[in-house]
Amino acid sequence: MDSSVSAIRAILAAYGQLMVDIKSLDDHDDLYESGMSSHASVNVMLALEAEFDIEFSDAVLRRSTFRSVDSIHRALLSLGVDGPT
Amino acid sequence: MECVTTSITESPTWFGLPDHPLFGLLTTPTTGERRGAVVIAPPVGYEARNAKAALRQLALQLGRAGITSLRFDYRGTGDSSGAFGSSLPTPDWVDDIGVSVDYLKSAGFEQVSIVGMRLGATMATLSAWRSNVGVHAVVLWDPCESGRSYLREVGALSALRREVSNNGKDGSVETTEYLFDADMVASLEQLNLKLNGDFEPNCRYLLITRRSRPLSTAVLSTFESLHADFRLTDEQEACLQVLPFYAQLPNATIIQITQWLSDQSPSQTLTPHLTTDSRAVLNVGSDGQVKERADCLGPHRNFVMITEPVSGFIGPLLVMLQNVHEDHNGPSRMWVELSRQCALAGARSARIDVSGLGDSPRNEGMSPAQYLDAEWVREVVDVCVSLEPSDPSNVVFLGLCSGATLAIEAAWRLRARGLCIINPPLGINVLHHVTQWQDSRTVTGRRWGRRLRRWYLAHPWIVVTLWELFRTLRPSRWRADVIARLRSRGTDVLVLASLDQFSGFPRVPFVRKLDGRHPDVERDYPFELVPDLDHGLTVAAGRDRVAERFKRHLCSTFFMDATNNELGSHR
Repeated sequence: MDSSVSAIRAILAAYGQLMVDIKSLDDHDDLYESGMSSHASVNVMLALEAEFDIEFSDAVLRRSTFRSVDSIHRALLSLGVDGPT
Repeated sequence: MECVTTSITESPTWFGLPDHPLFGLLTTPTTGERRGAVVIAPPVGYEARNAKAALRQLALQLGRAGITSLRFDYRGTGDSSGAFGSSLPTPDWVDDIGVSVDYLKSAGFEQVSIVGMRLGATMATLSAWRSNVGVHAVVLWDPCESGRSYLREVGALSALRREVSNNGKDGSVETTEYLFDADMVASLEQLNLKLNGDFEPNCRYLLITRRSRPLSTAVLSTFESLHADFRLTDEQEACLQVLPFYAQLPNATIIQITQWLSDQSPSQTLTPHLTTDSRAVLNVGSDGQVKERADCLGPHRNFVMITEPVSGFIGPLLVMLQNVHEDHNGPSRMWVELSRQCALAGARSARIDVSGLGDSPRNEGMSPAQYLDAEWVREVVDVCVSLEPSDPSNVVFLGLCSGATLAIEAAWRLRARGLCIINPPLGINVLHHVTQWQDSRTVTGRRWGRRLRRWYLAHPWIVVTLWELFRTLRPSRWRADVIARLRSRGTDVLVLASLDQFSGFPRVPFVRKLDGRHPDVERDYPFELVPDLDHGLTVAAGRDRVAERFKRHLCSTFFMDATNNELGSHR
């Protein structure tokens, strides 16, 4: 698994407050419907920024960006992330 | 007026400079030894709503330990004077903390400490570092590292709830609670715990942090050099990151803070003399002055803030009711500003906290507050009778969501003159009940809540059928019918709604034509869809439209005969 995706999943497990185990979700499953609240998504955002040493720009700071592991990964790629720092 | 609970007295008071008085709540031990005083600097925005019950619990706990405390609102927030945006976090809010410390010191307290939560902790520390008054100890309870980090967090929360950026091209940042204009943003960005300043050398520090909001090593090093005590809490998420009605008290942290402050605070040698004043005259921008007084009314001693003209009032009493996630100030302080604007036009208004919410405690022996609690209707009626003893029907009720439901029920009981409501729930809220189970304190309850939610999302037709059945079998409880019947009895009615009020069953086509909430359905009462309005009035544009619409309606319906004055601008 891509190291970025692994890091994303680890952060979701720690901060996403999901109702289910992250291992049971595939990369396209809806994280909000799996229990992630908007508050938890902020925690995830902050943890991702610390992990990858980035800052989410206004352009990608949308609800849809954090909808799935895949959408988060694509947002990180658009911000030039290769892998965790 | 005072509310006494066992050996503790809670007293509302205005204090500070006459030009911009601050509103606060003093919690004072009435018996036993006195061990100094604490200023409690609250968070800002939605975090302040969530933390309200926790900070009150802290005040009560401190009181039991012999420590007097003062909770207050920064100017332009809560009940304090000024409009939001008319003052700046620095220097104004930082100065307000200093004014609060001065107030307690002038009463004779030898040692005054500060407990600040979130941005309140950041400002409390800077106030202690900058003031010449001398602060004994500072508790930083889950502090924001800087104003910038605070704005980023609350701005992100707002953005992640919607699909649009909340940052204006003019440098403003819109959050769920407030719109921070460019000047406020610039002011917030000056707040920073990393700044090297003149640290108060004799001050003690307690730094309480949480894992999901870690502080940088630079800030931690600063407090290590100050010989701070460090604690970790895992209670903040359950307190701050849920809807306010479901916020849980961070009891373990409260006990820790109380114990730490007690250890820092020996008994006072002198008896302090606190002067309180529950009344104030406030400037409303450059438009004039109004009077406000805080009171506890009715058998349940509900907290009420009464706003009235400086000399005499006209027309009905405007009663502004909170929804379960707010306090008496309303969504983004809308009731505060509306009541003050209405007072300039001659109206008297009352902002009420029902028991268990805001500044009204749930009395001993009562069950915990429930959503749409039946007791609340009785409390509101009792308060109206207290304020309008000769004609309790001479009231106009205003409310949002569950506050609108409360307004409808109270208007029905009193045959009120008017009803101005926003987004009233018009039937059983199935999803809400499921959500309640999801937040259950028991594992079984939470498990069934999650199952029901998934079942509801997968099979909405079954839920809709049950809902329509309920409406057919219990028409007297169907609020749309009650609203029409109120109007037929002579109550003036205005209902404002957002388009998302019609999204109860977005996955179910054709239902909107059945459920009576479709915007095109003819109704027996004035009903208006407001552009840019969301359910909770978190979007400033929609909120401002609601305030303006209510002002125009109230003025033209109830106050136009007595005065030709316009009610003025919202801010």
